[in-house]
Amino acid sequence: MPTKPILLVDDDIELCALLADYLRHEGYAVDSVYTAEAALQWLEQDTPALMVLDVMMPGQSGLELLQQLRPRWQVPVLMLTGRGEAIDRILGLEMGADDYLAKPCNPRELLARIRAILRRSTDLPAVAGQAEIPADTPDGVFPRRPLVVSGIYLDPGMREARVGDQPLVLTSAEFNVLAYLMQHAGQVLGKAELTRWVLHRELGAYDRALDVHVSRVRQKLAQALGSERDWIKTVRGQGYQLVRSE
Amino acid sequence: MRVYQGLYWKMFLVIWLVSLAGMSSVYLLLNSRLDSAHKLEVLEARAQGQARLMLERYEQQDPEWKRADGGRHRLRIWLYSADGAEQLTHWRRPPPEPTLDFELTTASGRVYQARVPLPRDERHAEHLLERLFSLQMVLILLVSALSGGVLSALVVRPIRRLSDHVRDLHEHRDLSLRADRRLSARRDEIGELTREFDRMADYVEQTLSARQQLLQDVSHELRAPLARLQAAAGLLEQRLTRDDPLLQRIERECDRLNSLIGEILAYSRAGQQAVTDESFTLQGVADELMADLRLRQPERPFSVQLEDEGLCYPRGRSQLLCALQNGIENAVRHTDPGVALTLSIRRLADAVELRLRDYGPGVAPDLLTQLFTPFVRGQAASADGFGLGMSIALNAIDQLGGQVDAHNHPQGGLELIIRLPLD
Repeated sequence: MPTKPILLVDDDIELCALLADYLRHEGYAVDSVYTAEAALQWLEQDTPALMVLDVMMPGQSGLELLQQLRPRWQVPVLMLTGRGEAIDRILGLEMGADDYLAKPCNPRELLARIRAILRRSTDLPAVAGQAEIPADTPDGVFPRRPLVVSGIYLDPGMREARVGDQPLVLTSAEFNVLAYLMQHAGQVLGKAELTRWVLHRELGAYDRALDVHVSRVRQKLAQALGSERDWIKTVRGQGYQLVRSE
Repeated sequence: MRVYQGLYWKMFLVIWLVSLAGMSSVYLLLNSRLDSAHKLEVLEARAQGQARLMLERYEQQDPEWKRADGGRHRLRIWLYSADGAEQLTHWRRPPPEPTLDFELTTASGRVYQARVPLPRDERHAEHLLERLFSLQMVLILLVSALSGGVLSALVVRPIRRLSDHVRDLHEHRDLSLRADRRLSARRDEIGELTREFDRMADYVEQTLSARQQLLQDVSHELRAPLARLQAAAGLLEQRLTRDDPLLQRIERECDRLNSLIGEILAYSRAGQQAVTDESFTLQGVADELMADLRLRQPERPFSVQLEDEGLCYPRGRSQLLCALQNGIENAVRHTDPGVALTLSIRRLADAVELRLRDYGPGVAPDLLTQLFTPFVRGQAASADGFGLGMSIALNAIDQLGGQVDAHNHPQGGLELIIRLPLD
């Protein structure tokens, strides 16, 4: 169990209390703040294991808070968005949230997402062994040793990536995307498989989280490598592929 | 509306006929007055000339004095002595009335009186006919037609523009449209009518947006207690640590409420999301739909027919996707999982046409007309539908200026036809 607390940021005080109860019962330390400003103050003092962030808040919204968060704090963020607000989800993911959940949500679902994010950001290699590995991908193991592909260097142990001397600033989900694509460079990886590895959950219908993470990595790579070339190819109807440089 | 029923032609005809009648009667009246005055003058001159000639011969004692020249056109003149007592001409009867009377003084200085009967105008009808076809009448015809045309156009054209505007308002479902400044700035009745229309549109727009706002607010407000309810149910489940059917029931109802709120929000918000001006391939949209459907119902056959893989549409990807997702959702809810779905996309001359068809039982004809009405559901509706999906689809396509139509395919199944304009 992580010793660092989970930070709930939501203006609904009663809901925070209920969710905190629920999570504490599961053995997590939980702290709640009710405004974005209070969340920033809290972050000045301590680093949470994970932040659960409500998008709809009076005053500063969750999205604005997210914008201020990165890149100073690399704390994983699970966003709670209103149902039917697809734009908020995409925006949130693009601003560096790790995953989203539509609110109101079943607390069991929330717990599952929190577990998935905590597993992949704290104890990655061990988790890779636990996750379901598709039978048809014998190489489907999360990388442990440093990888170099097409001029990109990635160290899973240190959780750092760089191109030449220039470090790539990636969120944990983006890091996982890149690591898994590099491990299987040249192969076409299905969205369902990638979601399982990157977000530690199953791909859902109307689920665009993976696509946003991939497009973010694609942008950052293009910036760092300074080329027009698309390093991550979208294979229609199948998934994504990292292109090896010749 | 038939041509002759149009206001323009009615007004034109009335103005034309009235001004034609007015102008031509004035013309004819004036003309006949002038005409008779002129004739009288001529007659008088002729009578005087002839009488003078006759009297000169009379004084010269010419026995044939009465047959003064003039032949056939000779006038019949009654001549009298100065006091009128003696008739020189010896006509048996006095002249028929009315007569033209005048006095004459001959070169010898003697004075006589003369009376000439005025001719009765027997060729009156002939004259009238002649005048009717004169150049003046043709001119009157033209001028009155012109004034009729101009006057009717002055009234009818702004009314047409106003009715076009109101039709736009309705067809584009864009209540923020207001009439042309040129129309509403007019100071006449049409300007007033236009301003009243605008005020009505204001009112309708405000009412509708207030309703949408209310719907949104209520849904938002419902969310918070629902979230707490779910969290509380979760806590209860933790404490009871068993799969209580009542708890499951609570959770299921929470989910239902939740998706209802989601749909109401999506419905009330439809049309507010901006249309992005970014070209996209229809193949990409089809792929996305296929991937989503495979995750939801892996066993359902779904095929896409696309003539040209590179076919693109210039804007509003999320609106189109939303409409198609709701169309598919509708099929998923109302047909068995084994029933096939097809999406065929083709390019027409000035539009892209998408046909989404299922091979299920189709929809009852009376329900078909209400398919796009909010909260109307089929009888066999499963528990998780609210009848908003098709309304959301309609709104989304409306936003792109397209059309949606639903009908039962002749070979069975419901077919949804979406047409998006290409410009």
